[in-house]
Amino acid sequence: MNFLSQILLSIGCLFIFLAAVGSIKFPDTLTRMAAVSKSSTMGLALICLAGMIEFGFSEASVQLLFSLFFTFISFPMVSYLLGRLRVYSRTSLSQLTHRNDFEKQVQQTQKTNRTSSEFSL
Amino acid sequence: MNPLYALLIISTFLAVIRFIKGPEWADRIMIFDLLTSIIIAAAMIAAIETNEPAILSFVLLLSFLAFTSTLAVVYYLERIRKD
Repeated sequence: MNFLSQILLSIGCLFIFLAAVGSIKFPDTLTRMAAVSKSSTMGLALICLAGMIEFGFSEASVQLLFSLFFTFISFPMVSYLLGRLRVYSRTSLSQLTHRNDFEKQVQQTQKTNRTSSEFSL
Repeated sequence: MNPLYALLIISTFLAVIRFIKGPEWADRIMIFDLLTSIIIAAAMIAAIETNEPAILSFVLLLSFLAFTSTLAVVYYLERIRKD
């Protein structure tokens, strides 16, 4: 086993462990979502880099490049959708949150076009 | 055995605790993503240890599947909560 890939694997697994700890310790849905989405994306990127270093230039590293690219697209998109879902389900925020811009925007657009039933972003 | 499996098992336990406790469905969807990334990490460790690149197609498939399933569930929940 390559030394550099072992180090990258260790750091990536440590990032995923920190994501799990953050999902336990944070008080709110939004803060938990921030901790989990960011650090698990970083951990997966480091783990895919470790695999690419280990297997060299072959089919496997091309597959890993695709999965890394897709991870970088998909995880932030899912966290954005979860934040939008929180606005619609109207749960309370914790004391750590200071700014709440998107909810004001949603309320204003719902006031202005109350006649149209569909709210589109 | 690689000692990194222990770290992944501990983080699986923590994630499952939040999955059971979580007050919102958004927490559970997020934990589903975290569990998928833990599975990807374990598959990568197994592929590097046994030096078999055939396992890596599993990684690509899993990252696609997690994204589409999470997107479907979030879209469904949003349609419910809007009304």
